[in-house]
Amino acid sequence: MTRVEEVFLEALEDLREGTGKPVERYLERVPATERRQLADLLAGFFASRTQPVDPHADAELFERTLETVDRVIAKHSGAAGVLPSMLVELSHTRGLHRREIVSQLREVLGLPQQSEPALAECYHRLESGQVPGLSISNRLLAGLSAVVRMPVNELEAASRPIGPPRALGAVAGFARGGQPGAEVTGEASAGEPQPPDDPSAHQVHVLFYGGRNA
Amino acid sequence: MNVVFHIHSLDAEYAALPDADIEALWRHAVAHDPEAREPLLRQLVLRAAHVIDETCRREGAAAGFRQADIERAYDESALRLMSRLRVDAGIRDVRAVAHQLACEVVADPARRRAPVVTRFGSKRPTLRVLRGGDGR
Repeated sequence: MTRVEEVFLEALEDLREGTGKPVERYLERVPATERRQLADLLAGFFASRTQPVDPHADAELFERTLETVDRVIAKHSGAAGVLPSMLVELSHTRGLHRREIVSQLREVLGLPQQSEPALAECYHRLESGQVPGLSISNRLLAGLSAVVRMPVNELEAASRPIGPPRALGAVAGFARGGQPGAEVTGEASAGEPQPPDDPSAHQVHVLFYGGRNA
Repeated sequence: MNVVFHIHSLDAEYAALPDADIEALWRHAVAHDPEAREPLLRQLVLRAAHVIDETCRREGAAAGFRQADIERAYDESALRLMSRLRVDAGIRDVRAVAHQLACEVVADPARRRAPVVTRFGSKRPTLRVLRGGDGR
């Protein structure tokens, strides 16, 4: 019996007896190179063991929901919360290109035309998790709220830094052709850029890096 | 497309709990333990999935949505629900909120429809009457 099988059977025994431990405890008992195999076995077992609480449970629908939700949660950036991935997802669901979002944002914020390149640059940094969530101004959150049609308090909450997810990590157990280990946690902040000298670009910089009351 | 789900160590446990227990854990997490919140949000959104789906299909059909529009509205409603649940632990009925959000998403006048995909067919043949026995 391999080490993976041994630990897997032990996990099954614990679960049957109601003494199951967090999944990480089992995974850390096998060599790193065999964790994927054990994770797949455990994921398969959980999927077959759990009775759907919801009588309308629909595997295809659940899969779609997990894909959507996990794209936001799993790609969270420590310092920027889930706001970057939320913005990317909303741009897809609303069929908006980044340049359109930037253009609408400029109009909503009442910024001059010449500020658009700086706005595009900062928005790119925001979407890629390089703008710390707490440095985003309330004015910018209000502007984003108008563009992506999401209440400002929800965007504000999404921008709050969160700790690392207490997750097992990427597992291909429920996916079609998934590749484990492909998760992106996007550590935020490559450092705040220097405030630009140009007045219109500076105005944009303050919106992204000036803090809530800027 | 490769899809990777992130299985949380508590997913199996949460999936087996009744709604009331999950909601109690979620309310506690929103108030006291933000890091424990995400897998609970995921679980609540999953439980409201069929409400979102039914609402988007019904309201979307009435608004003339095509399948791609319905799917995008579904994704957006799921995100909106997750986002709402992240901040508002006072929600009494998660499925009712899911329904309301899906209606809002479909009815949003600023919502852009998926582009129509045109298919290029072969050029329609030009027919002409042939006169004469030699076919010219």
